Amino acid sequence: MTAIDNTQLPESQIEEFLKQLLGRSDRVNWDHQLLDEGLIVSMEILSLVTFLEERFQIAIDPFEISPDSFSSIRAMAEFVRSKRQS
Amino acid sequence: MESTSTDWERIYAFPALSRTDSECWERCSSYCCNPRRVTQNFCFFPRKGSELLILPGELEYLRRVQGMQQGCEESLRELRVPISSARTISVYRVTCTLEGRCSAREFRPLICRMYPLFPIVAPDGRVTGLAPFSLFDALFSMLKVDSPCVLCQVSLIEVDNFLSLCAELFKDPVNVFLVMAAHQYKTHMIDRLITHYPELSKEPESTFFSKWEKLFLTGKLTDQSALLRELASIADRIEVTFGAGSLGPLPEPRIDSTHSPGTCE
Repeated sequence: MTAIDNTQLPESQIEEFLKQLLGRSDRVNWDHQLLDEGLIVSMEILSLVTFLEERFQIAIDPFEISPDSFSSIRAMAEFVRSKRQS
Repeated sequence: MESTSTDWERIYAFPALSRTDSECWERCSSYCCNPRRVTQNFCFFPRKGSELLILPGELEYLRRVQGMQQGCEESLRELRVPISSARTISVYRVTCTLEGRCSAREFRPLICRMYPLFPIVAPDGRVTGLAPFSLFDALFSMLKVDSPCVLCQVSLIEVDNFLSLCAELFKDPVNVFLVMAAHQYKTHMIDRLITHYPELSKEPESTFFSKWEKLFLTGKLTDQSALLRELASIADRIEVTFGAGSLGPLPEPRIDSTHSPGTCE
């Protein structure tokens, strides 16, 4: 995977990671409903959790995750912000 | 590396355990095709259908003979199973939502044909035992409840057919590795579940699977570096039997840059 610029907004970093994970070169809309529309499935959640924890230095309690937290890039970024503030 | 030595036509000629005439699906509501009893507790994993693994070489065979079953091609994802830090073997994951209504049953993937029996295979390809096929069946066993699958008690004739299929399948060391890796992965995960979350097995089934899903998706049920060491050990043992490089090209040896070519010590 190519390096992701960690000075960018969380949304941009997550989008970049997702593009690499899914092998896409086109943009992914930050409000696109990723789970509902089947863009990501269960195994991608596992990769996303690992990425979010390592990139943003947060610890994700397994029992606090929900489909809402991963529904879109924007939702994931909000989740990251809420974890950083707590 | 794609499997090159498996005779998929011969593999698919073996009768599947869940034959069309067994009507087992009537007694379990097509549990293997649609494990609702488990998936109804999930938030992330698909609640409809089953996630299937297709072996290397098998995908090419299916596409060659008649194509993937309807709707499966769109969900196809490649999964790279590590042999070591430098080598991987690709398998393919599809989500089948046909729930048992597949039209060309003779082309059901291998995983559907072998279910519910999982072969315990040695590095030299010999089958040394049988286990429940799916991770969920192994978890039912941990919870001390019966699997919904009525074929879990099979006849000796069906076991004999199954073992003959395995003998053919495990002529190819890639298939030996992938099946051993799958067994190792399940064992690894269940061991971590028992060690780190022992209270979970006392939960009711619905809560158990709901919590299991979240532990799985947050990576709490696998120690990646330990698992990689276990897989590398399996690969080493297989290549002792089948030969170095039988699981794919070996990585190029690293050149020591402190020595110039032509320099004599």
